[in-house]
Parts: sequence; C-alpha cells; structure tokens
Amino acid sequence: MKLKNLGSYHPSRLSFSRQLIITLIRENWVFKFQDWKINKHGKGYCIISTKNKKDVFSLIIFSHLIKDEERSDRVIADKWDFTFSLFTGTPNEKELNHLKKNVPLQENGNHLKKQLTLSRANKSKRLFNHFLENLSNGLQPEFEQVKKIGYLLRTTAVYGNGKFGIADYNFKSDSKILKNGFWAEMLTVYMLKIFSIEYVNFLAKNKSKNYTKLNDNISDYLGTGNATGLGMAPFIVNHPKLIHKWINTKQTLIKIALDQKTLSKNKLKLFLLLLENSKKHINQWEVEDKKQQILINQSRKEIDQIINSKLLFKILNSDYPLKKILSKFNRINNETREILYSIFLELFPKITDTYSGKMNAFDKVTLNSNYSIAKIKSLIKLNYSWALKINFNRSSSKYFFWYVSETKQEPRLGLSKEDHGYEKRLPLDIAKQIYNLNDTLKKMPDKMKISEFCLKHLKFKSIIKRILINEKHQFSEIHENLEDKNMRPIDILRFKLSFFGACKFDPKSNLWTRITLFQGVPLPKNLKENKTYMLSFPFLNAYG
Amino acid sequence: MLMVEKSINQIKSETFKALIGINLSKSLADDCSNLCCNLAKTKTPFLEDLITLLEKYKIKKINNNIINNETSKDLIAPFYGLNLIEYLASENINWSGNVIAPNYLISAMLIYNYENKKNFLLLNNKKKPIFCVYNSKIYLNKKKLTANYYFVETNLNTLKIKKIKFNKILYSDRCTVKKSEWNELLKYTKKTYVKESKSSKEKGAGY
Repeated sequence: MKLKNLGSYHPSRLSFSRQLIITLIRENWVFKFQDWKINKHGKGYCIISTKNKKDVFSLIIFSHLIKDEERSDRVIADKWDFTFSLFTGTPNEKELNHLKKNVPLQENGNHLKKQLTLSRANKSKRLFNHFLENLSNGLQPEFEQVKKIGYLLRTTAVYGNGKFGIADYNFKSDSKILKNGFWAEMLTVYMLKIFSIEYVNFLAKNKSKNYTKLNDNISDYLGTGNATGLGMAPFIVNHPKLIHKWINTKQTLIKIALDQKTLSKNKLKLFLLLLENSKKHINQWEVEDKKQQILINQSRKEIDQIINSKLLFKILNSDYPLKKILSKFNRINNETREILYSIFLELFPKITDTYSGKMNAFDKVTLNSNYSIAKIKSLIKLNYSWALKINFNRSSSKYFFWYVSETKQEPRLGLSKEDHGYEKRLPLDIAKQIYNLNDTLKKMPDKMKISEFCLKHLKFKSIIKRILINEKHQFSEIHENLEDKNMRPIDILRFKLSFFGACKFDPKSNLWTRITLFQGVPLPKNLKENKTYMLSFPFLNAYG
Repeated sequence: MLMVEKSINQIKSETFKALIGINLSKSLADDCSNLCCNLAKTKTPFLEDLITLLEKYKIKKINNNIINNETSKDLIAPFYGLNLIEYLASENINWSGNVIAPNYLISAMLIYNYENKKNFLLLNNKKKPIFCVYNSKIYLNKKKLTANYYFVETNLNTLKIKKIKFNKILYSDRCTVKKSEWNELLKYTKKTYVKESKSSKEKGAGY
C-alpha cells in the first residue's frame, strides 16, 4: 500500500467503465438521440436516451458558446462549452425547463432528485477545430492528431451521489447502474463520447456541403478526456473499507490467475494478442512529464523483451505459466507489472465479471467492540509499524496540509510554512494520528475497554475505528504520511482513476493529471460481447 | 416558510463541515453528522437543535460530560449521544440523565440497532416509554422531543414492551428543511474553508 505502487495502477476488466460497457451489451441497452435542439452555431440542447427492458436514463446536454479566453479546465471556472446531467427516465416539460435553468449553473443550481449526475466539459479546442475543419472539407482528421489527443471533449467535473442536491446512490436498487458506485458517472461520460461525435459531425455538415462523416474507426477510438485534480484524494483516505474492497478484489483475481495450472490454447492465443495490444497501446502513449515518459519507455522495452523472449512459449506451455512469467521477468517496473495484471484479468472474463456489482462497501458508523486497550496497542504494533517509524519532528513531515478551498469548496494542498489556514486542515494525517494515539495509549491501563477510552478521549474515536477496519481489511490504509514533502498526490489520483477505467495518464504536475475514459470503446452500434477483450488496451489503427 | 429539498449526502457533508467549523473534533463531527443524516432519512426534525448548539459552542469550549451523572450536567445528545449508546451497549447497562436535543439520542439508538441488532428503550421523566427500537421495528411517541430527564434501557424486559405497538422504520432518500435554517448552517460550513494562496491556485488542475 505504498503510493509508488498505487501510482502505477492500470485499468482492467474490473474497472467500472469496463463493467458498465459489458452490462450495457448484455442487458441490450439501446441508445437514441431523443431530441436535438442545437443550432448551426452549436448552441442549444440535446437529449440522448438509453434504455433496456426495465430502466430509462437520459443525458441532457446544454451546449454553450463561450469565448476561448473563458475556457478553463479548473474547477474554479464558471463557464463551460457543455453542461449536462444524467436523469432517471425522460424529463417532462416542467422538468426540462427546470434543468435548462439550473444545470448550466452547476454547483450553484437547484437540482432535482431524478438527476443522477451533474457535469461539465470543454472542447479540446485544438483537436476539435482540426476535426471540424477537415470533416467540413470532406477529409478525415490526421492520424497523428487523433492519436496524440484521443478525445474531442474533456470533462472537468463529474459529480454524483447526492452532491449539490442530485440523487444519492441507491445501493438497494435493482438497476446495476443505480446501485453500483460510479456507474452513473461512467454512463454519463460514455454518453458524452457519443454526443461529441454527433456534435462534430453536425457542425461539419452545417459548415459545408462537401462535408464527410467521421469514420467508424476514429469514432470508436475516441474517448472522453478528463482533467483531474486533488478533489479525488481525500475520498480515498475517507473510505478505507471501499478501497480495501477494490484492491482486495483485484488481488484475489490476480491470485486466481496465478494459480491456474495450465492455459488452454485459446487463452494462450489471447495472452499473446493482449501482449501485442498492450505494446501498441503504450507505443501510442506519449506524455510531456519526463518522469512518466521514462517509465513508459521502460515499459515499452520490457513488454518487447517479454514478447521476443525465446522462453515465452515454453513458459506459457508449462505448469503455472502466469506465475512463471512474473518470476522469469521479475525485474520489470511497476507499470509493466500492472499491464501484465490487466492481461491476467482479461484471460478469465467469467471469473472477473462475477465481481461486477460487488465493489461497494459500507463503513459502519458505530464503534461496536469489546476490545481492550492492550488489543488496540497490539493492532497498532502489528499493522501500523509504518506510521510509528515516521519521524514527525522533521519539518518535511508536515510540509503540506490539506484544506478545502473557499472558492469552490474543493480540496487543495497548502504549504504548512507559507500558506495560511493550517488550523483548518483536513484530518488526512492518518500516520500522525496513529502516532499520537499510540502515545496516549501508553498511559492507559491495558484492561480498559475502548468504549470507555473513547468517552474520555473523544478525538481518538475516528482513528480507532480505522484501526478496527484495518484489522479485517488489510488494504484499507495508504502506508505513507500524506503531509510529507515527498508525497505525490498524483499517485492517489491514478489509483482511483484506474478503477474508473482511465488510461493514457498524462500528469501535468504532482497535483493533477489528464486522462482518457472510454477510449477504444466503440459507439453503441458497434459494441460486441465476444470482443470485449479488445477494450483493454486501446490503440488507433493506421489509416489515411 | 420557505422549504428546500436536500440530498442525504448534502446533509452529511454540510453538517460535518459546520461542526468542524466550530472546532469540534473530527470524531465528534463525524458522529453528529451521521446522526443528522439518520434523522433526515426518518424525516425527524434536527436542524433547529443543531443550529442552537452551533451558536452556543462556536466560542465556548465543549466539555466532556457524557456519563458523569454526579455532576448533573446535561448530555448534549448531538455531540455525545452516539458515544453514550456505544458505551451503554458494550457494558450492557442502563443510564439516566438530562438530555439536550433528545431526538439525536433516538437517532443514535436507531443507528446502533441497525448496525448491531441491539435493542433500546427510552423513557421520559415519568418512566413512560416514548421510544423503543426492537428487532428492527420502532415505536416513537412523537417526533419532536424536548430537553428533559430521560432513562435509557439496554436490557429490554419483554413484559415491559409487550403493550408497545411497533411500526416499520421508514427511510426516505430526501429531506426537506427550512431554507433559513439551511442558510444558517452554511455560515458555519464556510468557517472551514481556506482562501487559496496564489501559488496553490496556480498549481491546481487545469493549469
């Protein structure tokens, strides 16, 4: 549970966006442009609906015309090219009028309980203009441009689960989309991809008679971009049981794969295909961040080494082939190892898919334990030695502090010695809290029950709850001091985003990253269940 | 009177922040905001009491006064109700005392029952049952209780509760609150926000 490891995670078949797509195919979800009230300049609104036998959802998208200088991916922006919301059912006239007034206001709007998400996006200006120009002249966009950016629109926030008054998650719902955490958000992002292609085709058509439609190869390849900042990081710390669930499920599936004694011929073929696909994928993954690019380059070499190894076939045909691959290539970096894990999960789709819909977890509110102080002390010693080893006297150990910004109520990172507001910091200093608790417990009688201790030392209750969670959920803690100078929030972001199914991580600093979702996931008409393994490592086939 | 509809997530996050805003510890703020959510889900009034306490304790240091009957201090149920119930349940003992905002004590008993299947009975100063949660069913005399002397029992005598008429616990996924009270709450919420420094702003997402 080191940040360095978490910061190397790759998307896999287990990721929410992947499981959503598999469900959309299996449950025969149909997508339709229900209403298109966008004018030739690109302003207006549209409704895309999706339904299966039981449920209907609609994405209502408002398209605005903003000046280039008004466009910002920052959460502090207040104007966007598009604002949208996923809605349960189809909005009636009254509801639509309400949405028209409130969705463009985003967090300042008054939102309805039928709204499942609230979101906004901007054009990738450069690529969008290039697409529009080429399509209106009857040309497809240039390969290099498409490959380099890979999306037309970039979301800058996708809110769900009751945020700003929209609907809370309904974990008891019969609908997989409603009951699984982050699925409604993922559906929103996939539907935005569908919209982005329709939108650019529509504008090109209106611009010139010589226009051509974007071809299927490119349409299927394009994803939805996203710029993600620190907002995600506290979530990971504040949901220890959930994080354990995600990691534990992945680890369980990896172990199942490693324990397979042999691989069938079909699985062997699939392994080789996925290895080749991963190579094509990382060869098209280019970033400006030097540190990340070095890791990518290393991975390219390592995947090549595995593919070209004379021993590969021998290993794959021997007993416990996947275990042997890891042990033979034991010097690969974390990036490559995670790529291999994603391949492993893809080899056993039926097993992996059984965990779909089992990725939720609920943190208990109450402290129900008859544990004594002695037991808590022993748990700290056993599971939190990493925290006790930290020297909190070093100034670098409290270099950062986390706070909520006044401007947009979003988490931020401040410098303890320079920025004001330290006294209002968020309690993400888990390691320090453990250290302080351990110190206090030393003065307590071993036999005292924790319920009694908590009455007298109220402030320690939340950290004691974490210790109890961690006893049974070993992956619930990040083993790092999140206020340390060397801490990289980007690693936390990547970890979470990988479970969303994000790829092409493109760090812009230690604090934020660009990513792509649903890249290589075809438009609904081209989705095929027997080819879902092709979604794991998207790449753009040569054309032109 | 203008009412506004809120999601449960909003109740949780805004009450938590407001409590942190008066420098309550994370543990207590977490407990209290969970009690608020539960009250919101059962459509039981909670915001007026909370705002009164926020106002009272915004400058005054909160003392730990949970089970010390001898000092005859009041139990501030929004802050300490859950701690008390956890303690009583773990020791399997009864308790009595003055309770401020007793709805929150009910909320604590409901949550504890939901998660741990432990039954509770609340009696008024005349030892008349006014609330009981028993095998996931509920009896509630009236929705708004006032500060008074109460008895909490954790060992439920079946004879005692025989005559009580229980109902199903109904949970709602939305909550309607007075707009004026909500706005008052947000004043405390804002106390937790920090004005971004220029460098922090420039380093964030999107630049």
